[in-house]
Amino acid sequence: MTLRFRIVIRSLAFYLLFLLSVTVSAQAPAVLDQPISLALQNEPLPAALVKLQNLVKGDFAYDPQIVPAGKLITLKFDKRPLAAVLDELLSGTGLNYHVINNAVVISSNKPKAFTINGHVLDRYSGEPLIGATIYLPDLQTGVVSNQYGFYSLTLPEASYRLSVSSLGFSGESQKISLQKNIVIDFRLSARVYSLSDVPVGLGTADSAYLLSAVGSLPVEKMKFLPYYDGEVDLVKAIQMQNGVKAITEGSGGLFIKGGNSDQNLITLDEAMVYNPSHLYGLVSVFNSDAIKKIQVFDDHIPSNYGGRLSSVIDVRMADGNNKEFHVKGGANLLSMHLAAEGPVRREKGSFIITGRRSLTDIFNADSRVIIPNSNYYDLNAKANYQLNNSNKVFYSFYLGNDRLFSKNSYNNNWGNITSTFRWNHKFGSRTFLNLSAIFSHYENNLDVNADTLSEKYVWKTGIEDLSLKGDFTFYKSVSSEVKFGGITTLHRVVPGEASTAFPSTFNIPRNRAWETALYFSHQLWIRKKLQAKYGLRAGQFANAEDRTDVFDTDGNALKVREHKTYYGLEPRIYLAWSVAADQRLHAAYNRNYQYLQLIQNSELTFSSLESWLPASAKTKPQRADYWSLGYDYLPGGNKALLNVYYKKFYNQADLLNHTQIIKNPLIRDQLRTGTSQAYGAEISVSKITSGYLIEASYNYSRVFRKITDINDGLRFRASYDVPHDFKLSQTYLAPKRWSASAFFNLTSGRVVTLPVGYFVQDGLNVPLFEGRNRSRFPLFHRLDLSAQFRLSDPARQKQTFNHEVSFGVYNAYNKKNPLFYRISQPGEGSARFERTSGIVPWVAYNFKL
Amino acid sequence: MRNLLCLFLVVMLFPACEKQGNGDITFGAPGKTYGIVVEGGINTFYKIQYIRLSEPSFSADGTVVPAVGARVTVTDGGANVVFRETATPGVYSGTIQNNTNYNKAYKLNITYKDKSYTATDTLRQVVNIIDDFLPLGCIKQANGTIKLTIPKHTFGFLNSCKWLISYPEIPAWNPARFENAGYFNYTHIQGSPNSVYPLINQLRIVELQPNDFVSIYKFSMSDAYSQYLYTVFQETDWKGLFSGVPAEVKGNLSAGALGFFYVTDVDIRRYRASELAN
Repeated sequence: MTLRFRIVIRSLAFYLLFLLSVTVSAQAPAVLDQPISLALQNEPLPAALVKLQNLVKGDFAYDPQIVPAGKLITLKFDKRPLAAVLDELLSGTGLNYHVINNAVVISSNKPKAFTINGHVLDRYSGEPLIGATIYLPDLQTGVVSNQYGFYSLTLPEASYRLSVSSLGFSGESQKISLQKNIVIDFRLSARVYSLSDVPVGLGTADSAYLLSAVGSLPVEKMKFLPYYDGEVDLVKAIQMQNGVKAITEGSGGLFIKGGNSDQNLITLDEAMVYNPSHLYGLVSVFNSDAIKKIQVFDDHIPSNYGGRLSSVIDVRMADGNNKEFHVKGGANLLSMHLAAEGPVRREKGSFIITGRRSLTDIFNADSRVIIPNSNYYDLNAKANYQLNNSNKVFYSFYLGNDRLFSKNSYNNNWGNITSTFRWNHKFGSRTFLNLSAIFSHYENNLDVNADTLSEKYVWKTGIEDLSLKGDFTFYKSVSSEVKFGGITTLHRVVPGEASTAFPSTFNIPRNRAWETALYFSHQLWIRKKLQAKYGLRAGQFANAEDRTDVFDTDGNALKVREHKTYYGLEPRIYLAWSVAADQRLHAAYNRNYQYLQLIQNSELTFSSLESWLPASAKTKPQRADYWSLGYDYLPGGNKALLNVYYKKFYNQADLLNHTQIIKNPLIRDQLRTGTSQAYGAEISVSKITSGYLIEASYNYSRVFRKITDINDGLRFRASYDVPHDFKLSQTYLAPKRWSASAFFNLTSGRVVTLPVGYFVQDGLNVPLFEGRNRSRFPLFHRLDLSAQFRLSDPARQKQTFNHEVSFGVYNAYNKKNPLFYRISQPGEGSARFERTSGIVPWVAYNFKL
Repeated sequence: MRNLLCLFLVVMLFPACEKQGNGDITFGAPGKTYGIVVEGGINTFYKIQYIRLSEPSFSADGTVVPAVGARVTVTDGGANVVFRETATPGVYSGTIQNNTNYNKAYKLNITYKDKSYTATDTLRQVVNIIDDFLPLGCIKQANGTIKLTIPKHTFGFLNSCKWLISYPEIPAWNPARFENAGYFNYTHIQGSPNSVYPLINQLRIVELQPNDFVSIYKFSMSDAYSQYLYTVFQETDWKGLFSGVPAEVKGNLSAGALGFFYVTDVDIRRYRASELAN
């Protein structure tokens, strides 16, 4: 082909393309320019479009479903261009038109969406309210405020009615016209001393059906419950809930859905609390003056939580009143407490400081424990400041200590320190970030030989965490919320070592471990009936354990560590189907990993010697798979809940019989592992009438373990296997100043290993044991009563000084439940139970200024 | 509402009517066969040795009965010495000439009711009594008397030993008198089994005249005997709110026999009470 010929071909091609484009562009305007003559007299729009369609030359297409029928049209067009006719007919209908392939197509406008966001706050104190509901009755959907009171709703442009409520607060309703992004802070008034908002135990959603595998225990309700010696206690309040076992009266153990007491993730403002007990568990470390909200996740565990198998107890401190200064305090037979709160800058920032100190000895001498000089104290402090509309910072601190000083100069001290710095940031109106830097420290020091002439030393155990955590929440729409984030923690673990004066050969090797996790979760509503929450947590645990058996050729110990890394994927799924307006079915599945475990071989759950061991080359991580099905019926604020579950645990560790925890460097070699199975059914009902709240619950559950070399390798009942557990509580609020409550608990007796005989050695009767946990104590039951009398008139809202006196009886009918069994020694008579203390009356006083 | 309240009261108070006693808990039925129980062993202080045999009791209110008519021999590394039953039922005695074979094993053989049992323990030399390492406290009182505080258990010593601290109220050590075993006190190389043991520490407190004599006996232990005694005490003296999971106490006897056959070296020193207070 010659050059000249090629030039001609190219020119022709270019000319043809040009003609085609001109033709196309010439035709588009031609369709819309065609003249239309049409007269309409009160015609509905669909009919008008039909008439127009018959007049248009060419294709004219639209979906009749999208054409609003309400609009009546009276117009006359005389040879007007089609475009002008369409502009007038479709004005204000949300419809528009396009020309596609010479056809006129009418379609809907893409609706504009706008976001409402803000915070739900306590009107009186400015405290953000966690778990408040922002509900749209017309759409039958809504959202729940997050841990910082923040919410975000993205909706199409329109007018809406919003209904905002929170436990213990009066609800509010507001109409809004959503035509742009807006920020609305809702301020709710607390309903003081009113039962109608007092929730009914764990598992109550903040409103009927929004996001509910979360149970929350309102602090206000906690204060009405009857406690030992009048000490309001978070852990004791949780023990009163359905499905939670304590197994030892007076202890702080929480055994939830077949899990052991070290399998609960207990946090205070996101910081891990490793030993949440004062006085061996009689009182918890949580001062109710400092606490705003407690959330317990014992069914579905969201994927932003990890590290424990059984439950999550997320405790949040109060922020402090950001409008006025207040002081509150009080005393009971166990302790005295004082708190101060107020603004750092009015409505911009606030602080709160609380302190508590024990007052008296408590144990019954019959229990063979006399604590001549034991005390505890704790201090909580928190401050926060709103830097601007998108940024807020918080700092929380906790310090607590127990000290036991006995005759013969023995000392036993233990305590926790936690410190959390947090930064909240909003990206626009739909994305919320919380970034946290967290420190947690637990330590126990025990005098080992204080009363000897040997060189003195102290046995120390402890664990220290440094964490960095980031949590994003993207509020995609009112029915879709995405969360993602991660956490990395450095654990420095001291399982047990003597003070430096002593040879280090008896020390248990130290460990350093990095625990890291990334997670993702998505929560969505499908057709307003089906709620789904699914997520995945991906974790890594890298441990380095000191080796104490590596020496150089000169016999000097070398610093060598043994490294081991584990990975784990943890899917979490929750589905809820709203069968009717007040009924739903739900199902959940969790997989959890736990890389730290508590090494204890105590028969009861009193202990201060908490030795933590991380997973290592010799000790695999624990794992659990959990399934549940449930049915909820919530007619008019009352409640009936039914739940069944099954849980399988893997790599459950137990110590060989009589293993020493102190001065035993080879303790890992005396751990044996196996599996555990738990299953149960829970039912609870509650009824509220004017002034009365009655709750009853029954739980049937079993827990079995099978551990190599324990009980001859045969399956045995776990120490927290309590098959039947019945709880009944009642709260009454009189119209004026009185309130009263009662709590009754009836359970199967605790499992126990009883002797099959005894023999004599060195003047002692030594019991003969076979197996483990083959017997059971008699039924356990106890009734506690309490009453409160408000010395100041609650109707007078503006008074500056409020005070009340509380009194009650713990163990009202003096039931001496068995605590443990021991064989009698020569001169003591027959074999005996040691029992708990009997009836304990108490009185307490509280004030607020 | 009133009916609900009544129901509530009935449900809560009905269990209160139950009679409270010491409970009807009895021992479980044993699934294993238990043989004999052995107490005692060989000491380096006397040539005549004593061993007590008994049978365990399988009833909480029952008593331990002596095992009579057993055939008992001890091998001291050379000779087989036959122990004969004394006038006290269940107590057997024999003469061991070679009772100072340090770091050597002694072996016990028992035949009782057609069953045979054996045990072995090794003789460890005792660390002599040193004034600075006595398991007792001593204070001179204002009135001139000497107050001794003797804890039954002390921890964190460099070696485990058994002690007998004898003074006018407490008889001198006699290996034949097993009923006096309650006067022993113990030092342990192990740490306290739990954090609250000191609170229920069993003590003897006595006031003596300055010229009263105090005899202190110190008995060595093998590692196995030390560990055995530690587990015995975990199940007995230390049983309390903080004690460990109950479990079988295993001695060094074969074929299901219980107890421990031990070999021990003895050191003795005698003090005036006033010397201890210095």
